[in-house]
Amino acid sequence: MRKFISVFAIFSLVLISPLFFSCGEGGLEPGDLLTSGNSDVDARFQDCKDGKAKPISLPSVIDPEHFSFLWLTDMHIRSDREDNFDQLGNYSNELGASFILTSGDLTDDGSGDNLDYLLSQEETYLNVPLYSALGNHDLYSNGWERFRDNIGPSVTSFVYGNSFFMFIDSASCKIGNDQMDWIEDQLRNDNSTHKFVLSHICLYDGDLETPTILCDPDERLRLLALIDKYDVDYFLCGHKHWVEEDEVDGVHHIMGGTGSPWKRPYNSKPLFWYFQVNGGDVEYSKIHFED
Amino acid sequence: MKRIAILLILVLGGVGARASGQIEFKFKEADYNFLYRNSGILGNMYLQAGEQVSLHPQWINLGAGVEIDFTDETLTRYYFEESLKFSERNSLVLRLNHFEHKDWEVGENFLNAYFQQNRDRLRWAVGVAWISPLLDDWQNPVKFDTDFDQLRLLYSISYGWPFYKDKFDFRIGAQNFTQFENFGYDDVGPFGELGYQLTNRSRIKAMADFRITGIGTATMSLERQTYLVGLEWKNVPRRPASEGTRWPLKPKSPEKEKDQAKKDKEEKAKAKKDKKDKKEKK
Repeated sequence: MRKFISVFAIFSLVLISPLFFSCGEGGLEPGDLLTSGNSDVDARFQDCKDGKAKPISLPSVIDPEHFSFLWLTDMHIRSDREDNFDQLGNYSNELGASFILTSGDLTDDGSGDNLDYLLSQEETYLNVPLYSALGNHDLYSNGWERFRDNIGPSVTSFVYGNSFFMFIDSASCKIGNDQMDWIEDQLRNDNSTHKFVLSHICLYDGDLETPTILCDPDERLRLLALIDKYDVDYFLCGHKHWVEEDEVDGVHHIMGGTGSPWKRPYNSKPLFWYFQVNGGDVEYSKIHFED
Repeated sequence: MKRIAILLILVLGGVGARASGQIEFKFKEADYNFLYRNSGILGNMYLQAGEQVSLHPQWINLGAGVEIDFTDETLTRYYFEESLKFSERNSLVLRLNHFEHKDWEVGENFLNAYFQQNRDRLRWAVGVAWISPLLDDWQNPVKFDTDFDQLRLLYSISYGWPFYKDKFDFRIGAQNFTQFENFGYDDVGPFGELGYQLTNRSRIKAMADFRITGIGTATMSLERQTYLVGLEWKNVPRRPASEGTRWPLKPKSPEKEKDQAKKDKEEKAKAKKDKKDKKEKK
């Protein structure tokens, strides 16, 4: 009996250890296990393919060679906490951004209350559309259907001006075969000057790997190879609440920190990124929200 | 071809060294597995072969292994390793692994360095991996690009016990690496291995490994299953369970081995006789 208990204890410790490693901002938090959504990435991909998600309607293109947009990630909106929607609205007007993109975790828990609050803030402060990748926090409280119906598809792509934009669904920390094939098809068939891929989970997070990047090393390698092969310019991601920029073989991997005043990046202040497309060039800069 | 050549060099080098009479060459162990691996993007059948030779029982224990995807021959993994055996139980392993996928046009090299301890029942290992994805020159087994390289913690822990006349054994555990693969942190799961002692030196085994991803994002799902059947052979006779470690590093002295063989023979004869007596009584 004693042997059985010791074996069971060791085994349980090993199994639950990843929970401790991945705790904290952007990772697992108390209660998450009970409230997480149970939708599967393949099912979500199928929903998007079947046209069940709110369609993306793009603003009209004034000059296809010259436009700008804002990108941020991990806003973690809650109705009972502060947010930066007013500043985001002001900046987007001042900078003349055509749209705003996020890399997921729009709301903190995927609940209907917080999503409704986000939609009302969006309507109040933003004069340009906001498109978002799906984050793991958006899936909590069975949030997929709410996200799908109110924000848009988790997997989609569009061309705006001379640039190609693709949202991929990494919210469950995996991509799956169907989506991977779709990603390859989309990248192969696009001839835009610039290519941007938005994902919640990153493919690389610095010299010391942490449990915040895409889980399966095989999927990570496959995706790295695809974005390298099809000359993606920017891979824009979040999740770790960390700001980091790496360039490998001409691909900019940017981990965007957070745009949340209460879930701040560990190594920076809350921020968004201002991208300007000028013909064959793309310039970007970081802009910090004021406290 | 390159891999077979390297294996041949390894074995011939060892044979040559032995012939020169300067070092002691010993073919130590062999491991052949047939496995099915099903993950989000890979679901194929593979053959694995691994071998270890020793040029010095403590300091030079070289190993090499290869995994071939025989369903569509696009994926290959192979490794070369060196084990420093401090004692019967403790060793430090350095292993250079290479992964390549022809269709994806991508490769990965990783160097695993870990300390392992094989106690009677508990086995554990801890170390680090230096991992380098290869986007160009992806078939090069010794290239370490610094663009995307990362360090990762490695761990393995398992507990096993013999049963049914010491013929079978069962082991459960969890690990984030194997001889051929490194898994991510968030790619966690238990494995179970059932073994059967075929002869004094060989064992057949069946293993199942289940990996769950998305623990850190609280979106857990079963990502990968691996089923394996294999045969392993070690160049030292197995010790009885009563003596502890099942696969001793050092063989017993010839005299002791002879005594053991004599004892085994006597026990066998006695068992046979008992059986016969019982039958006759009936």
